[in-house]
Amino acid sequence: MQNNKLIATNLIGRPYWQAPIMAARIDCDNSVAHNIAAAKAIESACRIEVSSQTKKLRELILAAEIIKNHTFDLYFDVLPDFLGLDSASELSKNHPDLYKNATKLQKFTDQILISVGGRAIHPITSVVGGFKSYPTHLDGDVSLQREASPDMLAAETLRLFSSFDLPVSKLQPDFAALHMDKEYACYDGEIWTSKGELYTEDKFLEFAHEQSFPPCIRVRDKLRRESMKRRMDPRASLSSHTAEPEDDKAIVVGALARYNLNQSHFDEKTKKILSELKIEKKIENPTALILAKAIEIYYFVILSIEILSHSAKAGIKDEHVIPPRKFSSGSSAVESASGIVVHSCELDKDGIILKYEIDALNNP
Amino acid sequence: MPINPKKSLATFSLTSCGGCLEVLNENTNRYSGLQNFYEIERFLPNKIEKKYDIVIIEGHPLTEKQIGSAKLIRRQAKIVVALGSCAHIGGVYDEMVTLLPKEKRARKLLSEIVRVDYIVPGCPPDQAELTRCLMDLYWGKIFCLPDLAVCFECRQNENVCLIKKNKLCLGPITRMGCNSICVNNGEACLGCRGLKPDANIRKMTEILKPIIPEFEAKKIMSIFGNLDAKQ
Repeated sequence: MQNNKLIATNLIGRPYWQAPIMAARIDCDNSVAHNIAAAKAIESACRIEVSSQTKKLRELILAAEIIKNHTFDLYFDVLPDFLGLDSASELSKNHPDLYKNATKLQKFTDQILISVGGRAIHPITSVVGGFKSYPTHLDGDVSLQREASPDMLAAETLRLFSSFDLPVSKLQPDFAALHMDKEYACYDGEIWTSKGELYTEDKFLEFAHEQSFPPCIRVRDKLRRESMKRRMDPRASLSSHTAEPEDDKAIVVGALARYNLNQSHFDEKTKKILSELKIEKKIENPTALILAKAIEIYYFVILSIEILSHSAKAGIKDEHVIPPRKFSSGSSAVESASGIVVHSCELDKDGIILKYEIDALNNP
Repeated sequence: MPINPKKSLATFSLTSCGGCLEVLNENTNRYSGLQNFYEIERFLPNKIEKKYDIVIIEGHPLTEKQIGSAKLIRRQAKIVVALGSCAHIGGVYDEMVTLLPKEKRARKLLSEIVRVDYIVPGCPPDQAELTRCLMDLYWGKIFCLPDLAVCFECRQNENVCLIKKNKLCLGPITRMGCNSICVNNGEACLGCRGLKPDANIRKMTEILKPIIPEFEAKKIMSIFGNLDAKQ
């Protein structure tokens, strides 16, 4: 049984404030995404409007978690394969410079998660209505890690992964991601698909049910089959593979979907490096997920530095956690490193959870 | 470099978020330091011929299959270490059994299924404590958990007592060792490290009565599983 379903059932009958604490324990890789999604769903049910400072700090820890996951995937899972190594520990022996890049990026994100969330895994401070405590010297805390120039490391990462020849797959999946008018949506927004469908907050759950695991798994299995085929016969051309009609229905979420649907909202620095590296504006090849992750590492590092600099200039106010005004039902969707996390809840008049549903739409 | 040869260490996950084993390699320097003393690998239940010096188990056994794996691990390991709240007191997955079909229900803590030699509690566990445990075991020492309450560390950290402020906190009955990280960050202690040896749950419930309703107190004490579990 999936962890999200187990936790959702355990939440029933519990007070509303326990949702973010328990939801963070669904998956340690996406603990921030689940924590924030749960907090947002409850806030929506309690009619709580959090401050812009809280939103920014949540975006910051979400960005940190995405960078951390992408860095781990790219450097410790993908890169050893490209370099013909067996494991990440071989990477540390044979390419210490690359290994150091990864560890420095991880230290940068860990420091953000510790300063804002209280610790690197399972945030403590992020609760319904805001933060239990605010990092008053956020930029100072992270400054040591910033000396390692994470933006340079992220640019180096992007250059490295854009230089690899990726196998071409003819799968042409649809994409779905959160979308906002002026931002590269991650924390907020409506769910858009490349087919032009739009799902607002009241329809998040409908989307999650429609696009549940089977289509995502179809794409993943297809890619695995292709990879196996390539291993058995290296001369076999992947491009000769013809897509089956059922593949057209598959929906891809995560980094590649976000890149394809939201890249117009990238900042100038990211746009500049993308044009410098001549990266296409639309990437339909699902195996280019690696490239999309490298792009996102760069974008989210720049975003994190921007938020940190802003907080250093403006300072961080010590705000109170906003109490609930009423109890009803609500839902939320948040982007995680590997897809979209949807939480939905219904509370009784005392704030006890009557219904809770968690859907995690993931791609590999 | 150690004089003694490396020992074999395997890790195995039952139902959990995977965060406890993430803690093991969270600090890359500390992890590579551990690799000087241990050959670290994942425990594969099919590899029945291999014996290990230490096996770390994270997670809560929810199904019969997982109980079988836990028993197999016990047979193949000299020392079994339960890592994190799920392996220790059930964790956030403790009350899940009702979801499973009857024949698959386990409803037992790991320590009730197999003999657990050592516990590194917490959700997530403290990496320094885990490293200390592994180093003690490497040198043949007995690893001991502190017996005092979280309040002890909380005072050292100069936090204002939450209970005195009429706020919820399970610090007085919870075993210390986390450096009161939750209270330091403004959150209450929710008992993820389990009870300290002489904890008085009835007294704690009485203390909490004026702060929160009784049913809520029970729900809080069950966030990280069965706080009353045998330590």
